[in-house]
Amino acid sequence: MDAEKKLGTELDRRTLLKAGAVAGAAAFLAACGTSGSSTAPSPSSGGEQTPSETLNFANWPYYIDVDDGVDTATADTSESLRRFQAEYGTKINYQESIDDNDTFFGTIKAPLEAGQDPGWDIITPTTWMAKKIVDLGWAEKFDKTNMPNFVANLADEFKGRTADPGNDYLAPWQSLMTGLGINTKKTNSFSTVNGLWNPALKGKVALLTELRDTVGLVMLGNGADPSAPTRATFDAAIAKLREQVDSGQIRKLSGNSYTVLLEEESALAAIAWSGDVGIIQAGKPELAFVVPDEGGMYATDNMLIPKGAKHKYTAELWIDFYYRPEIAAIVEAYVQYICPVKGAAEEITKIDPALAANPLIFPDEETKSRLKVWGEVAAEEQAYFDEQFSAFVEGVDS
Amino acid sequence: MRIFRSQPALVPTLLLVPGLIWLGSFYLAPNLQMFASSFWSGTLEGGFTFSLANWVNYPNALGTYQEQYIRSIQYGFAATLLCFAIAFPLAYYIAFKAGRARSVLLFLVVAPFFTSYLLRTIGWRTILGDESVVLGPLKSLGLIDEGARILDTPFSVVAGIAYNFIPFMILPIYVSLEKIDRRLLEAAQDLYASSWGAFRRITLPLAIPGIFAGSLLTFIPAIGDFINAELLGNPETAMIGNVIQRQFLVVRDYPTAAALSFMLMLLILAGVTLYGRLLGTEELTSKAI
Amino acid sequence: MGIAQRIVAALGSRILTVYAALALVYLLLPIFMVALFSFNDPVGRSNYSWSTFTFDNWLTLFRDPTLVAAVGTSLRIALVSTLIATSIGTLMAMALVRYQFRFRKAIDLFVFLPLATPEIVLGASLLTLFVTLQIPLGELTLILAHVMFNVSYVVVTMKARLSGFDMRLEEAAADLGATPWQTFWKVTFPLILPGIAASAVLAFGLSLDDFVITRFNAGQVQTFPVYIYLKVQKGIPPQVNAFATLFFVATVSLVAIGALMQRRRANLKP
Repeated sequence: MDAEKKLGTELDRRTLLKAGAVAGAAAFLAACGTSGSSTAPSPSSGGEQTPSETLNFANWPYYIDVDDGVDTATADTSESLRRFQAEYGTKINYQESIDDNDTFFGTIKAPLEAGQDPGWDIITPTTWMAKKIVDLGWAEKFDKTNMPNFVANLADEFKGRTADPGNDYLAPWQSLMTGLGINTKKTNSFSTVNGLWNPALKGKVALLTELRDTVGLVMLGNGADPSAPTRATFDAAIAKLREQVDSGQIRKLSGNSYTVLLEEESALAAIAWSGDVGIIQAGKPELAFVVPDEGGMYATDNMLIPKGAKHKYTAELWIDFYYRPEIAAIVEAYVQYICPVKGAAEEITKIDPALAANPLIFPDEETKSRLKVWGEVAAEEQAYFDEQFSAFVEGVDS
Repeated sequence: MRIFRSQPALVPTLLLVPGLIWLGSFYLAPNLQMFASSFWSGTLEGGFTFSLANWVNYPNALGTYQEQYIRSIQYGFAATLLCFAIAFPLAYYIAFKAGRARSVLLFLVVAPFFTSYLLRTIGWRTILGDESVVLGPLKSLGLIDEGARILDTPFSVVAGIAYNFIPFMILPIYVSLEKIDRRLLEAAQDLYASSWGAFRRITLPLAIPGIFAGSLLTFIPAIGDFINAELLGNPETAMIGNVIQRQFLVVRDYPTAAALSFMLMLLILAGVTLYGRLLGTEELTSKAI
Repeated sequence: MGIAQRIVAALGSRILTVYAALALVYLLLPIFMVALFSFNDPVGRSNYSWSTFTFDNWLTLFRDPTLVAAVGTSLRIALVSTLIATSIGTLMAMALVRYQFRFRKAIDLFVFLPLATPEIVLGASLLTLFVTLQIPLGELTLILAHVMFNVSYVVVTMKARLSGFDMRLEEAAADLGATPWQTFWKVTFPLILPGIAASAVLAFGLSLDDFVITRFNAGQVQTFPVYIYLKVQKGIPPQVNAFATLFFVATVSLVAIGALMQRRRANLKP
């Protein structure tokens, strides 16, 4: 109706979803020949198991494909969820309930601690939170005989991670980059972390309350390595941050609502997540996402089955379903993050070749080499980091 | 204190029982457990242990966060005053001058709070943004500095708190004002009192219960507020509510979070008792008229 | 009154009217923005800058079933919890104001405690309670939680109304042969009704807008504020603005209609 008025992404989605439906169907029927394999899993050896009627899936907002004109994904309004239901009969109770790792953890901690069903069969915490959950013994171990696609198509970079060396608990969903969101109209474009401290930006800089993103980037700006943080490099970063707050450079330390600041131009530069900037760009093309020269942060959200989940088998089926390249491609093309499924890239470019050039979905090798993941350190070390950063956020003098 | 004639203690007990059971089960019990957790030490991963020796959690927490406590009291106080300054004249107008339109006006005042807090705050951010309809022209006219801003300052935090508590201030005050017998004021007029005199000696004292209730309903939650400081503040406006929020959810230092909460409650209770005594509400509420 | 005094009084009256008008404008300003942006056709997903006027959002109010469900859930919970909280709170307030008994001061202060407790503590402690008692999280737990924090607001508001209540009216009714039950319903209740209405309104608004406590005790149920908070990062759909505006308009309209009906009834009386 008003298709002409809607720019960029909206039109792309409608087109690609139609194309995707065709391409996906074709790929599904073909079932082989692409670099990823796509098979229906054989029943597990451990007795008879059937897909359940429902599956409770908690995810982040706008993290799965959604039909045109709808705002929230449900089993009725998402192509990938619909296909799962068509194949297995399970209607997924999909809820966009995760807006923040810590807050969401706060809502499931009590039941998990009491050994009860937390109400969710699949949740998608970021790796560091997922590792915490696994270490606490609150994650179910995958029965990989139910998940052949997962085993075959998991991108190699996720094998042997500290958080999950055997890939027994975590199945990556999407990865994202942390870099800089810069309003190129109202301020001179720049590409370094230290560019945030430019006095011309005084009172117009927003940072995140996420330790790994904010301190990580500042450490990179200092020339340190966040994948191996030490107290020395950490303290130096905090000192830098405090200095910038005291001088009035930093307007706000915010959580998810930092996008509001960029939208209303209270902040002309911010530490930002790649996917968010992609969304804002539709209405505000002057907003640029930049992986800083010194480097950027990289994180992954993972599907995890909490301990005591009622529908573990079906959860494994869904994870496996997602790891079919054509399904991952459907999700991927919509959400514009980095996909961990081998073969999805080819599927996406079949759907819409333009997406292949999207640096948010397919960062080039040079950019990828600059991305770091926050290092896994001993619990006491991380506790020290958490305390120090919290003191900084809370405005407590050290 | 008037005691209802020949009423056994049964009646008040019956009246109180539903509320006490509800609060007992859903407030007292859970928070006793919370109180116990303020005597823990340890971590989530390593486990927590209870020990009375951990009473030091309290002074430790207070020592670290006194700045935030003080700031919260300051902001809460300022917000309550601001709220009162806006709400009282409005309540007075609606109670005395609005005539038949009064219920509609009252709801015009209160209905904004049925819309979402987040939407209202975003609305304010749009109006008061750095280059908004309000500030933009002022800046181009050179009346204020280019780098000046209203948002994300202590002022916007206090204003945000005040704005959001106006119904809590206005409704109790209105309720008190509305029931003042108009004949008392007429009588005062007949006795040659000025309108200010009548206000000062009749209206105001009779409005005290409402003012007391309204200011408590504003000040008490205002001190513990965190959302206004989060959305409308900057790194230097953190209130104790923000600290407790973060200690609980992010740092997961439950003993500290609990200790901070209970000290906050104690502080508030002390303040409330003092305030009540100051206003002499005991005597006022005991009178039959 | 002397002329000077009369002038001051008239001036004061004028100033009061202007002040009241300004205060009203101040209160309604952000609501105007919310309503305005419900008519915006945003470029992209975020509804922060004005692009073009459209009625579309109002015509497609129900396009997101999750939003509609959230609105319904919020209204249901608010209604039920307000009814319960107002009843319980009024009873408590009556006991605390009219009677002298041993623990009155302690209970007086106890009622303030939920107001003084940080929401995160209320929310998390309730969650632990529900988990321990194995009560499934959802609308029921939300109603239990909302009543809990609303009771305090009702008690405090009602106490303001009840204090200074002229007991002699009740005594007069008793003297005229009314039973306590009749006295309550025909004398007391109508007189405290404004206070009850005020408390109910406060409680309803609090329940409708609650976020922190709800977030922790909702399970998979989504309420209107939770829906909005979860959308703020990536863009709040304009239909949300439309619903919010609808709440406002509906509330004021209901009251206006009620007032009109009352006036008509008064006019019809012989």
